[in-house]
Amino acid sequence: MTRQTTAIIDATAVRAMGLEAASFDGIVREHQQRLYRLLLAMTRDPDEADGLVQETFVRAFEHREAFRGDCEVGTWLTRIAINLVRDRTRSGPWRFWKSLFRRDGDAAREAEQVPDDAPDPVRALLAREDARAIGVAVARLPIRQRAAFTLRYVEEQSVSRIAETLGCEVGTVKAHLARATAAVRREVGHDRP
Amino acid sequence: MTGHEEPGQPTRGLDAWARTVRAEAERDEAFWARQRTDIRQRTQTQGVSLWGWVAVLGTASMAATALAILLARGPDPVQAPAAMIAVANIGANGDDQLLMDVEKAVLREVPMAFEPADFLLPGARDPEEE
Repeated sequence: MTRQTTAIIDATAVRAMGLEAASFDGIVREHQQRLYRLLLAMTRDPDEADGLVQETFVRAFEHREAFRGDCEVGTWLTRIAINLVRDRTRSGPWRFWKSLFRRDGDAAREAEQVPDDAPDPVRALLAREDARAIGVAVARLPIRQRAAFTLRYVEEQSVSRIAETLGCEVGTVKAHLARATAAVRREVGHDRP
Repeated sequence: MTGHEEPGQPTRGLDAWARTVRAEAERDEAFWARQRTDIRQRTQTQGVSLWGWVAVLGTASMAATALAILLARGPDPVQAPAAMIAVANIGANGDDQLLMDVEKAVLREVPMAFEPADFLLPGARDPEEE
């Protein structure tokens, strides 16, 4: 099935959301986990990620008539989710402080989540420390860089797919990734000699 | 990790970070079911509230129309005073009563307005009459 055909089917499914609850439920079921993962990586807050996933689907439901089917539903939903993260970042200074205060407290817990599959315990420890530091660094990136970085390394999307999601050129995505990578390196300390 | 090593990629720890995020995002089915329920409720509530607004607006417009019609009709005709209504209700018996009152007034020696003074000062009346 071509991508265009998939998009047309997706558009039909989205338009049907208002008519059949089952269709909408199916779309939620298909995309909720991926969106939650993306939003968790971007916000580092499980509660906020949960709320944003819900808000994403509610917004999609509200604006289902605006979906033209020129991309897949997943891409459209991801766009909505990223815009919501951007809006949240703009809307509340308290969120900034909250994110700052939670970083150190939750970092250790997050580091414990790293699957310990490294044979060398020292390497495993280093990997955990680096993961924690990268998480903190990613959370400080500007929204588009954060989105590009997360989509690339957590969702393993291609650069062209990310460009479609962000609504920009491939070259722009590459620039976002390069800047994000440099910033993360700087934060983590991998650019030290 | 992803297998796409890129120039400038912070290789050490990136795999671990991505795995951390994926591991953290793993939730049990109850979590996803609850999330779907919340979304369903929010979208349904939204639909209800939309219809609720439609109902409220409809009711308000009907009330406004009714008020406009009432105002356009103008004030009600002036009601007849209660006394007039009472007289009108008296009917045939009232005519007899009226005749009797007229008769009394004609036969009255002192005008009705002076009756209190006449009562207080009976000597003031013309002595020749007595």
